[in-house]
Amino acid sequence: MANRIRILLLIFLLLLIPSGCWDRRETEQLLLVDALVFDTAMIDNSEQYKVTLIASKPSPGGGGQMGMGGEGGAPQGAMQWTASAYGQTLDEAMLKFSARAPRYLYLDHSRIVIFGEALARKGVSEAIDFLVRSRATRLRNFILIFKGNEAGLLTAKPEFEADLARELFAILEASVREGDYFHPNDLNIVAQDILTTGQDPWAPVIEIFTPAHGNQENTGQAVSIKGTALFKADKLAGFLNEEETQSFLMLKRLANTGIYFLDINGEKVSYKYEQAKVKRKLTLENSKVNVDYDITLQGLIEEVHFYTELTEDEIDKLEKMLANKAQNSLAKVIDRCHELGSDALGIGRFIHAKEPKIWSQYGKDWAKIYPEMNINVKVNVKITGTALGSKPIVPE
Amino acid sequence: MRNVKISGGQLIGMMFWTIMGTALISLPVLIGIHAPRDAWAAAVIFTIGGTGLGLIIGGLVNRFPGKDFVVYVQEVLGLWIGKLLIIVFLAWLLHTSGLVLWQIASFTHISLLPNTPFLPILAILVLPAAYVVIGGLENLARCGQVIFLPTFILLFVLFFLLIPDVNLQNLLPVFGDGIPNILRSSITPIALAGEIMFVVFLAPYIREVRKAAKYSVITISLIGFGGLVNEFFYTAVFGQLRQHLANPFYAIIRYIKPTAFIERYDILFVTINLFGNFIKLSVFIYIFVFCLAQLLGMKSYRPLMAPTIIALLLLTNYSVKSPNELIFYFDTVFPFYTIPLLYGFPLLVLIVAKIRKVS
Repeated sequence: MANRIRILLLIFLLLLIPSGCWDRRETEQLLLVDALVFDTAMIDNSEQYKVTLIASKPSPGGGGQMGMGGEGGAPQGAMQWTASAYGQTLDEAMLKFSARAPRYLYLDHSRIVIFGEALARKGVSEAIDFLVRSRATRLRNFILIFKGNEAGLLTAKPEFEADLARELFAILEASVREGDYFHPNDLNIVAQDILTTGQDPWAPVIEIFTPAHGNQENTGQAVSIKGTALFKADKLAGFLNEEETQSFLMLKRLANTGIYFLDINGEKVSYKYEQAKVKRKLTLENSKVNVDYDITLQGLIEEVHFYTELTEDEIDKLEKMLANKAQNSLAKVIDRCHELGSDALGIGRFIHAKEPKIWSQYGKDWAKIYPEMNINVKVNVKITGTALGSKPIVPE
Repeated sequence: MRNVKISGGQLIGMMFWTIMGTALISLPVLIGIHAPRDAWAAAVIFTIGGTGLGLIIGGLVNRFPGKDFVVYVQEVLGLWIGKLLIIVFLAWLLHTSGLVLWQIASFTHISLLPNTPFLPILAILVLPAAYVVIGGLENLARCGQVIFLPTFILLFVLFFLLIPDVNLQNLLPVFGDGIPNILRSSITPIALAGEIMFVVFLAPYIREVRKAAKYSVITISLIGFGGLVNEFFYTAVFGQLRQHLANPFYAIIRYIKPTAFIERYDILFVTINLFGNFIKLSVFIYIFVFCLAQLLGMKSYRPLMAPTIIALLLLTNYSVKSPNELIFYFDTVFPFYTIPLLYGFPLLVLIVAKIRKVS
């Protein structure tokens, strides 16, 4: 008897399993958000948060792909879905999507977070806090800043990938080692930098442009990522352009590769560095601290527009000229950072790490001390070779 | 009961997760509150404290080899004081088991089953632990042995995947948080290291009783090393952000860079935590029912299981309200009665036994 009851109980327990999960969510019921865009907007005379989702929607009917160069925007439109919601708080704005889409908002696979310029100037800490606190968003979401009006971003068409978020992600992932026009930065680092005194956040910038040559679709704008947005605490202070970004990344020790060119008698020589060794040092001078950068670049001469043998003397001369040029552009970026009051280079943090005693005096009013800090740069350029296997083609 | 024998490896496997279970979930947050940059130092202090207690345990076990703690406590301290202290210890054990259970349930609730009511989660989590305990010490020891190695290795593999994201500057300046803060941050880890004293209850069943101290110290060193690596990575990867994260371990596993081969590692967080805390909970429940049965002079602890589990569920359901409250409690209240109890109790027994020359 007891055995039978036991078996019956077991069967009863097993019956619970086939009934399925309690709160399961099928994949097709999820709204897979690829990117989140945060901005502010004036609604009814009050400034509200505007949250935009860039989500991908499984195309109806499964694999009915039009392939490349398909006619019209229809197949792509079926993939990307964007919508905006407004709210006094971010939570409110997020909740409003439920009235719009018959899907569960699913942020776990989001890979990019974009801040509009207006919000960035007001301060991003509330949005960052919201994202860090959220159960779903990962700290490895890339952070991007969008210059100007956000409407332009949302109408831009991806040129290679299925949706805008994937296009941006692909650029961030693939192009970063190809040239120092930007460097990705993620939620973790930005949140840390907001919290750390002596270290301000920075993030790459999205730019919208109209491709000159008409694509087949000819629908207007495309996206690219270049330049850097510098923050002061959690507020956007200003932008660096591509050229300044190259120097900025070098000072941040994030440089991969880039070009310096020289103009010699109207003809150009192009130098491509492939390695940048950056040493930072603190020097004390009359009870003031200076930061000295010692940078060694190694690279190749890849392009010469005039005929030369490139003898050792000539290479020495070129190295000096290039060092000079690099030094100037680095100094310019440091000035620009000073001018914006943004310590995105992390000078304060560096002093804190190396000289905690000095930092205990500096730390309190670092914002005032920083613009007057002496930051010196010394560049040493090494031409390890020429990529010119043969004599250049120059008319006699 | 008497003929059950567990090996040293099984003991280490059990005790490792008994302490590490909580260390993974709550400790990183509360260490970060006091000393975010020098969090690794807390792991070192933890090891020192735990090793000290391990030696005390060794002294006790060698003095009373093969005898049960509950029995010789009453011989050494006298019948009534002995019984009273054991009751105090049991009260602590039940309450702490409640905290442990609440903690696992809370992370399951937050990360896996957000819409499921809390009580069913508690019940689901306590069932396997209860099942193992009913099976006896040998089952528990074998579970510990089986679970220990894969989870231990996995833990380190996960952290090593984060090496590209390490920023060593986050750890500088060394001791920049100040010695008082570092000491303050290590109070709770030391309290948790006290849980190694559970070895005195398991000692009579260890195959080589004389090595109890050695096993305890090995366990503590393994946990200390694990803690050192964990805390190092939390600080190096998250810097000042670590004190703002609700669950740094979950956050750090979600932060691992997705590769083409494996994109998400979230499930490993759940695996490690559920397995580890399952061992922890089982050990707690086992020690509780085992001691209670001996105190009441019962032959088997099995009749006590049902009331214990029900009491535990009720206690857990009403004892804590929010994860923050639990962290706050672990930080400010828990160590101040746990350290005297877990360190003081065996030490007292050892000293009195030496003075009275009981052995």
